Amino acid sequence: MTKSRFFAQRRGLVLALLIASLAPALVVAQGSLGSQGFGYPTGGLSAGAMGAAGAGAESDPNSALNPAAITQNARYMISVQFQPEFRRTSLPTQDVNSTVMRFPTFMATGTYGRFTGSAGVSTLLDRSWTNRYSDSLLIGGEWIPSEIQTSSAGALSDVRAALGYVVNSKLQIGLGVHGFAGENRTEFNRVFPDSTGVGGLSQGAAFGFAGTAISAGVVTIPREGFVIAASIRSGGAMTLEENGAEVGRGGVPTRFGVGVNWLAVPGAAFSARIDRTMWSEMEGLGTSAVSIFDATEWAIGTDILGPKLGGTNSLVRAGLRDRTLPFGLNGNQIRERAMTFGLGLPVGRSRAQIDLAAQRAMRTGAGLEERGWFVSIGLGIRP
Amino acid sequence: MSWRSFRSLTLLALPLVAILGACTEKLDTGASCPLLCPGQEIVIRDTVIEPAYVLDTSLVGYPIQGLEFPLLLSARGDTMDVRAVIRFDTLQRSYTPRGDTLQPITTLDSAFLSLRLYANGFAIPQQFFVDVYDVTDTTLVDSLPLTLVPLFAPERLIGSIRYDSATFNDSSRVRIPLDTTKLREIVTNPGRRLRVGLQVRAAVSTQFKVTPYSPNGDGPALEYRVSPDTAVRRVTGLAPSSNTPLTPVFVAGDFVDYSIVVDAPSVLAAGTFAVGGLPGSRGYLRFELPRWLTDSVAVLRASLELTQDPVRGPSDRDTLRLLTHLVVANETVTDLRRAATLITASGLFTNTLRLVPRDSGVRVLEMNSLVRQWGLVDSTANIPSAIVLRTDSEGSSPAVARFFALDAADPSVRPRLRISYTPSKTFGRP
Repeated sequence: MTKSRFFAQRRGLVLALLIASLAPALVVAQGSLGSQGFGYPTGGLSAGAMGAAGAGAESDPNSALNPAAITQNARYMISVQFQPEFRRTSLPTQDVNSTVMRFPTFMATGTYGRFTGSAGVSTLLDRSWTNRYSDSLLIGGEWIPSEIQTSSAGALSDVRAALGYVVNSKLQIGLGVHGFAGENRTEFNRVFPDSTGVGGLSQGAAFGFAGTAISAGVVTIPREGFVIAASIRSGGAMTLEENGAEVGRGGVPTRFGVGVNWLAVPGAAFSARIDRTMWSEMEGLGTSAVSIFDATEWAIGTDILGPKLGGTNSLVRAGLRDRTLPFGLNGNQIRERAMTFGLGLPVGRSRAQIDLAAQRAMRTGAGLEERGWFVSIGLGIRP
Repeated sequence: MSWRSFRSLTLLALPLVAILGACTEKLDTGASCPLLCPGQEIVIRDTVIEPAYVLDTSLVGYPIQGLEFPLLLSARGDTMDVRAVIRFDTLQRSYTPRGDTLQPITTLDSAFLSLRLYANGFAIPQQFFVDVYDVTDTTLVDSLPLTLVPLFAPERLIGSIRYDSATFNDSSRVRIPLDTTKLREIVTNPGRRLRVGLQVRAAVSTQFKVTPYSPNGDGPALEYRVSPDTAVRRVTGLAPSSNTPLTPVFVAGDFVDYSIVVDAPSVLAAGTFAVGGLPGSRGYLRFELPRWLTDSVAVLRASLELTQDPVRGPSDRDTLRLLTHLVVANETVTDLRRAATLITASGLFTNTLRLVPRDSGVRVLEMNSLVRQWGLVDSTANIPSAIVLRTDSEGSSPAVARFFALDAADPSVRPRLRISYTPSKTFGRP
C-alpha cells in the first residue's frame, strides 16, 4: 500500500466514525421486559467481545470491564460501537415490536512504555422510551376516556479513566476511576377529551445521577495458552436529583468478575466468564415500587481463526450467555439468555478493525416473554 | 471487485446502515401498557365542598352606561319600557356655497335620523312607531339617565316614523324624518347640542334593537340639506358625539349612546342571585378553597353545581348564554360592582352554559382550569378567588337566569362544588 493510499483509507475510517456519530438522537420504547426500573444494562461489552457472548470480556481491551485489559491494546486505539436491538414482546393477546438504537461504548487508549491509559464512556443503564396508550378513569362517578403519553430520554453512563501497567509478559494490572453521570428527562401527560371538562395532567422532570467508583483488575498468563483475568469495581455513593433537588441516595453497584481464556488448539480459543453485580446497592435511588435484584452473569464462548481476507486472518466468534436483569416487573426477576455470533475483520493492515456481532436474546419474567436481536457493529482505529 | 474495494464499501456502508437503522426506529410500544408500564396509574378521589363558596350576590347595573351593545328599544305594556339616547353634541353648522367661502348654515331642509333597526326574533307588530325626542338638557347629571325620562314629552317630539309589518324590512337602515324647523333652530344656535331620545310605540308589545355608534359608520347618523341649491352637497353621515362629562376623562366618549331602562320587572328574589335581566345583573361568587386543594393535589375536575330557579316574565323562553369570567381585581378594590368589571375574557377557564329563563334544574360549570389558575396566583397579590357570571346579551335583553344562593331555604338547592383530584405524585422516578 502506498503512503497516500494508506492515509486516504484512514481518512475514510475517521469519516465513517464521524458519520456514525451523527446518527439521529435515539429514543427507546418502554413497555418491555428489558427496560424496567432505571433501564437496560447494556453490559459494557465491545462488539468483539459480544460476538463470543462476552465470555472474553475480562481480557478484552475495548470492553469497559477490566482496567488491566487495556494493556492488550495497540499503541493508540479509538473504538466506537453501534448496537441496535430489534425486539418483540409477547403479551397474552398480542406481540409488540420495537426497535432500539444504542451507542453503548466509546474508548480511546494510548500507551507509553509499560503504561497504558484510557478514557471512555459506556452506557451502564439505558432508559429512553416513549409510550402512548389509552384507558378510562372513573372520575366523579363517570368513566372518562383518556390518553397517556409518557417518555423518558437519557441514560446513566460510566465515564472511566484507567491506567494499566505491564508488570511482565505474564502479568498486567490496572486501576480505573469512574464517574457515573447521566440524566433522564421524563414527561408524563394524561389527556382527556375537551368535551369532558376534565383537566389533564402534565408533568416533566429531569432526573440527574451522580456517583463515583474505582476499579482494579489483573490479567495474568499462568501458563502458555491460558489467560486468567479478573476485575472488581467498588462503588461509592450515588445520588439522584429531581429538577436539581436530591430525591434519592444509594450506591454505585459493586461488580466483580473472573474470566478464563484457553488457547486449546492453535487458532481456537475458548473463554468463560462469570460476573456478579450488586445492583441492590442502588436501592434508595428509586421509590419503594421498584424491585431491584443483584445479578449474576455467566458466559462461554469461542474465537476461532477464520478465513484470510486480504491477507489477514478474520475471526469467527460464538457464545452463550445467561444473566438476570437488575430491575424486575412487579417484584418478579427477569432472566435473559442469549446466543451470539460474531465476525472480526481487520482492515488497513490491522490498523483498523471492524467487529460484527449478532445476539439472539430471550427474556422471561412475570409470565411474559421477550425476544430480541442485537446487531452490534464495532469500529476500531489504530492511528 | 477487489478485496480492498469490498472493504472500503463495507466500511462506508456500516455507518449508513446505522443512520438508516436509526431513522427506522420504532418507538411506540403503548400496546404493552399498562401491563409493562408500572407507576403510571393514578388514584382518583372525589369530594364535595359545601358550601361551594363564601359569598354570592347580584350586582345590578351592567353593562356600564354607554357600553350597551346593541341598544334596546322595548315597549311591552306595563311590563317593560326601555328607550335609548343618542348624542350629537357636535353638529355641522356651516357649509361652503358653490363659488363662495365658508358660510354659517341659515336654512335647513330634508332632515333625517338614520339607524339600523332589527327585531332580533321578536314578533314585529302589525303597526309600530319609532319616535324621536329632543332630550337635550345639559344641566342634568350625565350618569343619571332616568332624569331624562320626563323629556320624552310630546312638545319635545322632533320626529316619528310609522312602519307596519309588511313594509318594514328587518335589519335595514330606517330614515326617520325630523322636524326641519326645530332642527334648524338647533343647528343655527352655536351653543345648542342635540341629544335625541328614541322610543318605540305600538298597540301590542314590541321590541327592537338598534346598532349603536361604531367607527365604521353602521351606527346612527344625522343628515340634512343646508341649501336649496341641489349642487351643494347635503350633510350626511353625521355621527354621534358626546362632550360631557368633562371628568373623568374618556367617559364622555362612552356616552354617545346608551339605554334607559324606564321600567322592567325585578328578577331579584330572596335566597337567589340573578344574572342578566334589565338593568343587567352580574353574579359575583367568591371562593375560599382549602389550601390543600390548590397547592397539594392535582385537580382533574371541579364542577360547580348551581340549581336554576325558573323565572317567568319577558323573554322567559329566550335562550341566553351564561359566561364566566375570572375576577382579577385585588382586595384593594372593595367596591364589588367595580371589581366585577375587572375581569378576564370569558371562556378561558370554564364552559359556557346555554339556559332558558323559565327552565329549572342543576347546571354545571366546569371550573377545573379555574381552580388550577387560583393555585398559580401569587398569594402576595391578594387577589380573591372570585368569578363573575354574566349573560352574552347583558343590557340588551330582559332574559335572566336565576340560581339558588348560599342562603336558599332548601339546603339541597344550595351551590355545591364537586371535586375529583389525584394526590400529588412524581412520575418518572422508578
